[in-house]
Order: sequence, then C-alpha cells, then structure tokens
Amino acid sequence: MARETGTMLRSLMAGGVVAAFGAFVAAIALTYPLGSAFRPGPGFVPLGIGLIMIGLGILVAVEDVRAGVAPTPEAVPVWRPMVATVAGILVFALLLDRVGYVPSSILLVLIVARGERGRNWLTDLGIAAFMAVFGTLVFIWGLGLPIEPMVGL
Amino acid sequence: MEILQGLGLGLQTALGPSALLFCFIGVTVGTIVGVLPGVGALAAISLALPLTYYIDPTDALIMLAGIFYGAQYGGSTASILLNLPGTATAAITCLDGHPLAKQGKAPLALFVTAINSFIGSSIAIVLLMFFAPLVARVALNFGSAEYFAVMLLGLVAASTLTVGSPFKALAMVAFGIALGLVGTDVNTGQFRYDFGLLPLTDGFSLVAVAMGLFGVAEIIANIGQPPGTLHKLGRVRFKDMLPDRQQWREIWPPTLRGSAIGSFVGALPGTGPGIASLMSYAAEKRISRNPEKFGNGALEGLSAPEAANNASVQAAFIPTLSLGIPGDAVVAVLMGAMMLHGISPGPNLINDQPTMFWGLIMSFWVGNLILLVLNIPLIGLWVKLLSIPYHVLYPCIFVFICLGVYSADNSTFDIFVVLAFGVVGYGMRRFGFPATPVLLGFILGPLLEEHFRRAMLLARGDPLVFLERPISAAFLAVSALLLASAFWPRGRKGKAEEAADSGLDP
Repeated sequence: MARETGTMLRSLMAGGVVAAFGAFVAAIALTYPLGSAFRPGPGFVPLGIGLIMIGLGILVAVEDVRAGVAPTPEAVPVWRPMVATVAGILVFALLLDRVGYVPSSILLVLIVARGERGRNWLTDLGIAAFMAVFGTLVFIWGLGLPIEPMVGL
Repeated sequence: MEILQGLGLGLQTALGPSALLFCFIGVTVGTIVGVLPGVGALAAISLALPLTYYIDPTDALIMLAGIFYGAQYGGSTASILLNLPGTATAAITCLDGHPLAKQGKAPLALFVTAINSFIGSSIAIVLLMFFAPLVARVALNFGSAEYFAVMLLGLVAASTLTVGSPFKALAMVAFGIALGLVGTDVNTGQFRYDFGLLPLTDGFSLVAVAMGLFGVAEIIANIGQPPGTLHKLGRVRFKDMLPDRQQWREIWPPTLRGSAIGSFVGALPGTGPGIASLMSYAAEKRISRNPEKFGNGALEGLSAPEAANNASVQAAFIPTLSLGIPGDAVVAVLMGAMMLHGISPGPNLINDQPTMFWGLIMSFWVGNLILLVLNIPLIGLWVKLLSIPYHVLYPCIFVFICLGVYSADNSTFDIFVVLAFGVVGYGMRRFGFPATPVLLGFILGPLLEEHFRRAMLLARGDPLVFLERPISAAFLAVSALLLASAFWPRGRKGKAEEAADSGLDP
C-alpha cells in the first residue's frame, strides 16, 4: 500500500510542478495592471498563461496517474553528473571576472569531469590545459572576447 | 518570371566567395556536430550565433542554416555506426540503419542516407521556391488577428502532433511563453518578472535558454552512460557503397514518398523533422509487403525517413521565411538570429530582402551539394571523429557552452541562466517533458502577446474579432481540432515511437 501511494505521489509530481509554476506566474501577474479587454494591460496575458498552466498541470497529473507508472524511467536519480555540472559551471561563472579565463576554465574542466567515477586525473589535466590554451588563442585573441586570460598578469 | 529573377539573384549571392565560404564552414561544422553524439545542431548554432554578429547577415544565415541541415546528414552516421541517436530523427535512422551496419553493410547504408538526404532536400527546396512567395503574398493581407491565430496554430500543432504526451508538450509551450514574458513590456514599459535583477529587464537571452535546455541538459543526461559499440568499417571502398540494381529499386519509391511526407510535414508551422521521419517510417511499414523486414535492416526503413527528415528541414523554411513562424526549435533559433541582425522574417522579407531570401534558398542547394561531396569520400574521417571518447569531449563542450553564452552579451549573468535552464531541462527530460515546445513558446510568445493585444485594441475589446475574420477563424478551428485530438485515446506505442519518446527532441 505504501508503495502504491509512493508511485501515486511520484505520478502527481510532474503535473503538480507545472500547476504550481502556473499559480506562481498568475499570482505575480495580479500585481501588474490587468487593463481591460478593450486595452489589455501588462498583466493580462501573464494571468492567462498562469491559469492555462494550472489547467495543463492538472491534465498532466491526471494522465500520469491514469497511466499508473512512475514518470522517472530509472528508479534512482543520477545525482553525480548533475552536482558536478552545477558546481563546475557555478565556479566558472563566479571566477571568470575575478581571476580570468585560464584558471576558471581549468577548474571548470576538472570539476565537471568529477561527474564520472574513476577518471584519470592526468587525462583531465590534459583536457583542461588544452582548453585553456585553445580558448585563449581562438576566443580571446582570435575572436576578441573581452575576457582577461589571467587577471593580474 | 519572378522566380527566375529570384533564382538568378540567389545564385549570384550564393556563389559569391564569402557566401560560398560560410556555406562550406556551416555544413562542415554541421556534419561534425551531427556526427558527434551529445552535441546537437542547436547547441552548435547557439554557439555560432554570437560569432555571426561580425559578418554580413546573409552570410550569417547561410552558415547557420548550413549547420542545421549539415547536422541532419551527420546525425545518421552516428546512428548507423554507433546506434547512438542524438535526436528523435536519428532514433528512427537507428532502427534499420544499425542492423545494416551489423550485417557489414555500413558503407551501403551511409551511401543511401547521403543520396537520400540530397534527394529529399532537393525536392523540398523546389517546393520552398514556389510556395514561400505564394504564402507570403497571402500573408501580406494578414492583420493582427490572423497573426495571432496562425501563431497559435503553430504552437498547438507543435505540441499535439508529437510523439509524447500532448498535455506535457502544451504545458511546455505555456512555460516557454511565460519565460518570454520576462523583461520589459513593450506596450507600457512595465518590468515583468524581473525580481529586481537588472539583467532580467531585457528578458532571458535566447542563446542561454536554448543552450541550457538542449546543450547542458543533454550532457548531464549523457555523462556516465556506457558508450555504444562502434562498428569497424575497415577500408571503405566505393564499390561497397553503391547499391545494386535490385537495391536501387527498393530505395527509389520510399525515397520519393519520404520526401513528399517530409515536405508536407515540414511546411506545416510547428512541426519539425522528428515527426516527419516518424510518419514516413510508419507509412513505409504499413504499405510494405513484408513489414517483418523493418527493424532488421530494411533499405526502405532507412531511405524513407532519411529523405523525409531532410525534406522537412528545408520545407520548415516555408513558414519561417514567409510567415515568421518557425517549425522547430532549431529554426526558431535561426529566426532569433535573423531578429538579432535586425531582419524580421515574415511576408515582407521576400520583397525587402530579396538577396537574402533567394541567396539563402540557393545556398541550400550549394550546401547540399557540398554535403554530398563531403560525405561520401570523407565517411572514413567522420568515423574517426566518432571514436573520440565522450569523457574527453564533454568537459570541452562545457567550456564552449560557457564561452558561447558569455560572448552573446558579455555578461556572466547568462552563464548562471544557462546553468539554471540546464538543470530545469534535465528535470524535464526525466519527467517526459519535451524541450522543443519551450523554445517555440519562448520565441513566439512575445509576438503572440503583441498581436493579441493589438487585435483586441483594434476591435475595441471584442474577442469575436478572431472568429469574424475568415482566415483567423479557419486557423483557430484547426487549432481547436488539434486540441480536441489530444483527448482522443491513443493506441499502444510502436517501437519507433518509444525510441523517439525517450526524452529526445526532434
């Protein structure tokens, strides 16, 4: 029974997220002037879209529950690639303006590579070095992107 | 007469040295990204988009379009040799292409796809030449009500004529429109959904949204997946590639049928190559005298969808260039590229920018010829590309993506945006939400809202205006029909649909 409830909850999740997002869009739309049908204001269409998303979220949930299958194909979510990707790109975005392209791209490569188990650090360092040089040559010097290769050099 | 003049102008443009060069670069890059699993045409176009700010808009479009159809050629190579589809289209190619490779007929399969892609494209290009100006002439009389209705039809068609759940696709269209709301309201100057963040007052960057939903999400999903087995080709001899007389006979009719289906589906606003190849595969299987051959290396099952997807890619330019309504996510980004260059696609494009319109069309032909020449002798090279391991490739792609979104606006804010949409896109995949409709909604949403508000204003607030005008009423009726079809019970899914369904986008 508990297992069935679990499946049920998971089936409801996809539609639920859509409906909740719709409610969020609609709620914020109410803070903008709605206008009238004669002259729709900036809140008119957002409110409509929010309401439509609530409706579609309900339809999706009904459909998923009827199909009776958990919407996730794999039982366990694969967190490792996701966490490594998020961490790598965050570090890159935060450091790019502060320390420059070369160190931030090396960190980006080394961190996203952690998304896979059992990798060879030497290979990763090689890829990182290659991308640091390649990016500097082609994108910064070649195409003139306004990024410092290395801040303070 | 008009068309002949156009052709002359187009040839002049497309055969100019700079156009030729960018066409060549485009199709080559397209083939490479098509061959490499995990880098789609969309990621490649989004990456190239910021770089095109510095070149002539016509050349820019020729190159970007080249990446798009070049990737269709390359995608089949990966499917046939590696059974690793990067897109829904390629998933269909896998069904019969990979069994052929297993039987040692990979050179034949690769040759057939190259030649069929060429035939499919050519047929669609001819249609494009004749129909785009016609459609544009009709569209010149469109008012805001008609534009609203035809855009709505495009969005509804894109989400209901899909392989997965129509409700999920519709929800994603709405999500895309909601994303398009972010920024400054053009009519009143009101900031919407900016949450006090200054960069958001300009709205989300198209490149960041597209690269997040497609590029980053795709890579997260692919990291750590076991690699497919690459079939050794050995030395590819021309003799092995050519079909014999019996095989030619098996190939011709499906190719023509595939081209027809592909052109038709592609020309509808809102439907892309994924649905075209699926439909033509299903049609071939249905009319075949021995359907059991399908899935075991039937040449019909390879040639029809290959012709169809390439035909649909070219035909997708009919609604894009004549109405300003993209048929698929990649064309949507191309349309975004036009807008960034200050060109609004629509019925006036042919008159205002004849050089660009005809030049682009003729460049398709040039590009397809280059592809044919590139693909047949260079198959060996593409196979080598396939042997670059994904774990070496993906960290590099992340660097490219980050640099690409940064360069679009020179702001690190967009890197955060691409990351956020990467995570959202990965979640969408896991729950079976398609990403293409998001992008269509995102691009068409602002236009949809503008025309809706203008039509209402002109009609003094009477919503019946959308039904009183016959063209608008007809579009809305078709949309309503398509919406109703979403509620019809669906039959059990075939193998092809399941393959295309597993979180892949056309």
